[in-house]
Amino acid sequence: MRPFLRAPFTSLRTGLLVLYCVMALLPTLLAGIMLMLYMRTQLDRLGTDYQHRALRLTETSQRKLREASEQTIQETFLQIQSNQRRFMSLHTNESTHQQERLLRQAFSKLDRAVQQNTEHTQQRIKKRVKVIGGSLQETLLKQQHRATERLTSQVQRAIRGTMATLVSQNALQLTRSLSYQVEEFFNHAISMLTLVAQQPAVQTFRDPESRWILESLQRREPSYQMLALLDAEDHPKQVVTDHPSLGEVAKRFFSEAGAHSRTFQAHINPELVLMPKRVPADAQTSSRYPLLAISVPIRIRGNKVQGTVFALLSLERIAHLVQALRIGKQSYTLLCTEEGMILAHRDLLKIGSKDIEHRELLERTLREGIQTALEVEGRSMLVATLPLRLQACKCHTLTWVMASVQPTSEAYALAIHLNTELQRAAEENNRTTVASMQQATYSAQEAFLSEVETHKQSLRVNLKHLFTEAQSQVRDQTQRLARQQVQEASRTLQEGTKQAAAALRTALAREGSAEYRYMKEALLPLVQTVLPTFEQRLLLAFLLALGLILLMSLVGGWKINHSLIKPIQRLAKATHAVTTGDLSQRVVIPGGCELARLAHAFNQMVEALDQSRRELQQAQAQLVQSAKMASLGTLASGVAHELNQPLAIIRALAQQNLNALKNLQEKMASEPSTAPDFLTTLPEDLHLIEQQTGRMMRIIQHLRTFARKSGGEEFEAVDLNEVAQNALILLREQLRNRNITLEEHYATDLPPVQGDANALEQVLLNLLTNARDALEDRSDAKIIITTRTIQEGEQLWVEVSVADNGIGIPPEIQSQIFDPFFTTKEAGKGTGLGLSISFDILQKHHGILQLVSTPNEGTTFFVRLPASQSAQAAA
Amino acid sequence: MSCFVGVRYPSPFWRWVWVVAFTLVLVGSPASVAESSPRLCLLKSREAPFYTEAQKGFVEGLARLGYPVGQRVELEVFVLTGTKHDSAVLSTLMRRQPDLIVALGTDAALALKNLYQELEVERPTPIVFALVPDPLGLGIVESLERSGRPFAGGSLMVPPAKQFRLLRDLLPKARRLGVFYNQGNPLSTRLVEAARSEATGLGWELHAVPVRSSSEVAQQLNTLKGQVDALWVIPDAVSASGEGLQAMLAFAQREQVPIMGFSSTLVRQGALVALEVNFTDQGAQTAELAVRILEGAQPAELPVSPPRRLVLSLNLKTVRQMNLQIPEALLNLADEVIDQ
Repeated sequence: MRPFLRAPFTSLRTGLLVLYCVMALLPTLLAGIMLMLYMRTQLDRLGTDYQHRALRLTETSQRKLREASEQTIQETFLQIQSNQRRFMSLHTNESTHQQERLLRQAFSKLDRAVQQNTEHTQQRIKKRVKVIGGSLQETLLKQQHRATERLTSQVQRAIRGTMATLVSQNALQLTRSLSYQVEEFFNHAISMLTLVAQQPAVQTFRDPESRWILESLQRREPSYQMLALLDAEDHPKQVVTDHPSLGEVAKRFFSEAGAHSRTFQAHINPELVLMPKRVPADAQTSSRYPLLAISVPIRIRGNKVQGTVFALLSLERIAHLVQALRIGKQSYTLLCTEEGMILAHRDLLKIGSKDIEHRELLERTLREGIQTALEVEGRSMLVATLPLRLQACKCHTLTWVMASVQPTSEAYALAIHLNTELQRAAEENNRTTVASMQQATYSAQEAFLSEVETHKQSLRVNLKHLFTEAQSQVRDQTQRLARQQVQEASRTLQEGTKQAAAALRTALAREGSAEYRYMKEALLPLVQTVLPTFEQRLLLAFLLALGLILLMSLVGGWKINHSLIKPIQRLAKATHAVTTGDLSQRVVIPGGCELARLAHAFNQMVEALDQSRRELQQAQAQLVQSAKMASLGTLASGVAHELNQPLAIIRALAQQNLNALKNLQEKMASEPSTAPDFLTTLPEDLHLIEQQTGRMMRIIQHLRTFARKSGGEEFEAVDLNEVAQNALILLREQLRNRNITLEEHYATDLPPVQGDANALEQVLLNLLTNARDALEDRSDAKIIITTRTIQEGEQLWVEVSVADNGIGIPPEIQSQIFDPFFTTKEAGKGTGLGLSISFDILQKHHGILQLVSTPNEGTTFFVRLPASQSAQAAA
Repeated sequence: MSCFVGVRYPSPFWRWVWVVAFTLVLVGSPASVAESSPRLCLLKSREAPFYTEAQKGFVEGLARLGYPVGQRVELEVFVLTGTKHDSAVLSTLMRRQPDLIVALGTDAALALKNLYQELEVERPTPIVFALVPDPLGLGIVESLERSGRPFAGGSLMVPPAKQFRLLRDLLPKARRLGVFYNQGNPLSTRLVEAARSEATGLGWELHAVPVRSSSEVAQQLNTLKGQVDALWVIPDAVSASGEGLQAMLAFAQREQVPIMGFSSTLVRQGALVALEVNFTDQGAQTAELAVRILEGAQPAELPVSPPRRLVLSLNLKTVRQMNLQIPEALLNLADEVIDQ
């Protein structure tokens, strides 16, 4: 390695110097030559160029002078011309404007007059039309309003009248039908009683039979609240009633009833009777209704009055009849007597009482006949009252009053509706009238105004037209006059100017050509004298520069060699020494340059490296020891088992022998003649004891050797076959217990290797333990250990392989299995250090650890170690 | 100018005339709103002749009071079947949302009462019941003076005085009367109280036997053996139904004790005599109540109205069987004589 490293450094120094010189000199040389050539050509060109330019300058100045003079002549001419023209046009324009102004004034006056006139007319028209329209509208509205009012009041009056008539007619009709029905009711009652009076049992006042008849009548018609038979002296012979008190009440009617009977007349007493007592319990609703006393005579064969059939008849039926009479939905009808007792009312509680709401009306009705009135009690009601005169019997007429009460809202619904409709229609009409009037006024105004406006417009258009015509004529004439004058003046001026210009041009041409010739002749000889002197001086300067550069590069080269290349060489040397393991090397470079700092950093690095190596060595030794202790722990259970069995055998045998011996002693004591048989087996047993004990001792002995800490790197010649067998001493029994077949193939002529037997045994133990764990729960589990020699080029290797037919190692984790703490076993079962430590051990022995694994077929680990030097030599 | 306007628009006065005429035509046409007439639903306990009679009386009564059916009221009739279909009948009825329901018979009234209890309706449709012998016992009304419930109706209770008078006329020799009543029913209790004072007035003995169930009647009947001349059956939901009634009828036949019942149905079954309400009149009375409610009365405020027209029924066969002497005149005046 050293010569290879030194060669580039030597060539670097010389190469660097040569390169340095070449790099400094070559450009200078080239630049000098190039500069010379360049300067020469440049000078030549400069001379001719200068000449040319001087000539061109002269020419240009001459031309410019000529042009300038010509332009001045032209400008002067033009100015004179324009001045003339301006003066002329000014004069013309002024006169035109004056004329136009006059024209415009005249026309604007005319226009204003037209405008004023029109506006005045328009305003007058507007005013007139508005006044007429307003008065028209007012008149119309007034008429309409009057008509509406008249119509509304007429309609309302008509409807009220109609309604009143209708209500009274309706009421009349109701009364008529009611009085008919009431009379019918009375007639019916009388005829029923007459029928009763004609019964033989009644005529003779026979006791139960006449009562039965009365009872059955009451059963069928409960309106007869009380029935009685009076004899000729008006004494009651039979009384039938559910209310005994009625009998008492009725007594005051008996004499009058009897009196009528005796004149052969049926009788209805106009006086109404009320139930004497309203019993709250068992309250009969029918007891609310007033009663009427009816009597018919009991006659035998039509001419002899025997007595009277008397009845108190409830007016319930009549109340129902009245209740059914109604005009509208919210209306009701009530019936009362002359005295004001209510016979029928919507409110049942009022029946029989005298508290009537329309007393005054009632009295008036009785005096004057049909009445209608408006009453307000919470809401307005229309009341129609009519007298009801009933021919009850031949001698009496009953006078009752019927009142029909109807809310006005219902009665006058039609009138109210019509009224509102009318109002609405009138309003609508007023609105349309006003709108149409306004529309008409507006359109009239519009028509007039538009006519005036068109008239005004046409007038103005005509005026404008006239104005423009006059204006254009004035302008034309003035302009024509001015143009003729200008043309004449400009012609004379142009001719004068042309003559002056020609004279100036000839003078200038003469002067310019003389100057040019002089310049050309003087410049050329000047250039030719300057050129050679310039060339000599340039060459001298170049040579001087070349020498100076050469000197400087030599000094620079020496300096580079001294301060750059030498220190680098020293650094390289030190680095090489460190690489080979010598960590005591240090480099010292004086000064504070970058290289000195590099050397300092290098020294620090080497120091740190030395420190970490020492720590690493310690850590490794500890790691190996702890892994060993861990495997010892797992082995311990196996060892215990192994020791237990032989011990048990020994114990059993010892006991047996003790017993036998005891027996023998007894036998011997009693029968000394008998020969002891067991004496033949005793030596055999003892031999077995000795064998087992030996085995125990071997195991324990080995355990102790293994557990002893390896004492460093003192390698010795080791037979790998022996190492493998030693490892199996600890594991063989375990493998057998787990039904793992063990195949051992040991090469007979295996050369020894240089190494630590204990460490190598640990490697094999690790591999075997892994194989054992990989074969867990496999029926045909098998481990094959093979040792062999391999010649590989000049190197002789000794190889031990441990193969199993277990689950294999997946390819993706094969690269990780040598990493520390990597394990696939469950927590607590493996440390993950076994393979890592094995790898380290083999590296220390310059050996190799390889594996070949096929998933589900098995894994084979190969441990390869170089054979010892003596074996190598022998090979 | 005036001409200008006049040509464009017709004279305002004539326009006016047209508007008014048109309005009058509009108003004159029958624009009055056709108001919906109240809807009544009538629920019968079953199809029976007396319910038909009551229904007829009800319809006639409505017409008499100004509510002819089909014109001012709508009436729809539903009949209970006594089967599980009844709930469907009731729900159909309720879906019609009637303004008033008329219940004829105990079953109909009870079904509606239960329905109201189930639904717990806030504003129940008022119900008018009829032909319900014991509304108080069934809990349809709170008392006879004031219903207190959405139910209003008439009772079938004929005053005992009237009944006893009839019985005395029929059986002048009878002095001892037996009656079963439900002590828990205030109506029955009150009736028995009234009957007791009435009997005392007549010089009779009244054996009023309180019972709690129908089956108790059969047991208690034996205690009356030989103690009574006649049995009085009152409209009591407990004593006068099912087993109890059958026991009483059997007892009557066995012991030759005539029965005074409360309905012609009982007379048909073997009772001697009954004074019962006229069903047509009962219907009319129901119509009167219905109209009052339709016109704003609150059913809860109304009393239970007593019967009005009555019908006297007699069983001639029973008369013969028991060998009784009935006055000819009374027989002739009876409203219904059953001989079968």
